[in-house]
Amino acid sequence: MKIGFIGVPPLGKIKEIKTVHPNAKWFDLDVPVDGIPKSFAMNYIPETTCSVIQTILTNTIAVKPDIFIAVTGASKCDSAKFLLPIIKRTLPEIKIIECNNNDKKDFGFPICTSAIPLMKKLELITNNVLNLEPAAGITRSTPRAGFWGVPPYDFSILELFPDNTHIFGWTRCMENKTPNNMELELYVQPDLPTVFFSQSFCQKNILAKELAHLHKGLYVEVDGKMDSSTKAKVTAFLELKNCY
Amino acid sequence: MLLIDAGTSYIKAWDSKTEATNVYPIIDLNKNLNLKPDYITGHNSKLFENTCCVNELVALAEGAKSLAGGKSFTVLDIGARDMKLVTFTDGNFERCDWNTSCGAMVGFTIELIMKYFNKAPQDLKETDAAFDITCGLLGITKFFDSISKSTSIEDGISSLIKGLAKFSWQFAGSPKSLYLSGGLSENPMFVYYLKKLSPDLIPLGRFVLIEGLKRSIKK
Repeated sequence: MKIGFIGVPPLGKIKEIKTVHPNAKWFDLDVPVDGIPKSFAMNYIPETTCSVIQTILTNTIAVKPDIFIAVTGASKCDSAKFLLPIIKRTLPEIKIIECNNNDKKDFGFPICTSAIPLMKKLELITNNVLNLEPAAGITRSTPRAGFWGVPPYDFSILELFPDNTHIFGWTRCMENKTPNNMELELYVQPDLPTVFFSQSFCQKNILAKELAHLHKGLYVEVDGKMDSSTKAKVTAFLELKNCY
Repeated sequence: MLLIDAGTSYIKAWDSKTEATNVYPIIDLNKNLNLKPDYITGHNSKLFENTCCVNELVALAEGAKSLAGGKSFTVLDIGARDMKLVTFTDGNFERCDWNTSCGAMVGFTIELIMKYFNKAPQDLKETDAAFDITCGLLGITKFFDSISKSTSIEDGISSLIKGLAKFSWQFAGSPKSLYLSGGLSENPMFVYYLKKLSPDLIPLGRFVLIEGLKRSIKK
């Protein structure tokens, strides 16, 4: 039994499916897999589609899960919702469970505010989606910089940040297990130099640009792999803000 | 000591022995141009291996601090491929931006079209029409669309430059005062249109990043 999921499924749904299929293998279809090029999705969707959405479609076709937990709407995005007719047409054997996640219980976000290097933080948070318990034993640090946004398609942007970079935005909502929490998504620490990241062609660009303007941060949008100029832009911002 | 700003289309160089500045088209690298810089900045820095490199946005910030008057200012650097922006308030770095791909190619587009049609800035006159554009490539599309509707080539180029000036000004945050860096600060038509939007515009020329390199080295 293979179970694919996107976004942060509701805890109740995860528990329910784990009970029914205790030995199932789970796949996070948001995460790029080596050897499965997202460009394959171009056979079905426009090129002006966010890299994460392209990845979801490509992974779904490659993995062919028996069950696909499709979190859509406010807790993920409408683009994910619009993939479903394509998946239903091309892979009718997949059982699709479409849901929103309006969980309200706060699990906390100790990883986001820890001293763990940013790359490792994102790995821990994205690997923690199915865990039913919050992370424990992690000490809060004093931040030097901030990263706001969703987990990027290309994690190499994360290498540019100093230790003690705190995470804000939807990734913080992910760790808190409340992906539809606008108040938390909008929060950033005042006066902390923060990079507001969004994948190109994602609606969250609107939010990222507005928050960058309000907080005098740096707005960055990336389509797929990071190019050297975008890396240099992030590095310059952090250098000029004395974050290193 | 040789300092180089290796831009996308042009290399700007400064030699400390002679204090002379030079500009070389990047294609001269294929014509036995043998430069051995001590410090370098710019998009094509990687073409010069084993050279101390300074981030070009940092070089712009340092150069602008050196050349701009006052402690609160915005400097916009328009290159062939990209635009860079730095704002200082009361002497402190406030914000920066760097438009690298979508919405770029401003300098390259203007140079390309003017060279292709063999036009100089003095061949152009002011136009009321500005193309509503967000990047050089879309501007070229609108330009060819306009001349197919009987707009003259001169008016089409003028509308293109006016549209790109407006886009650049908006990218800079629509300021009243602005320092302009880069090769386009030597294009009188572009400067004219930008000055209509930013009345206190001050062109700084194309060696601002070289000034920034000098300051960065001292640091």
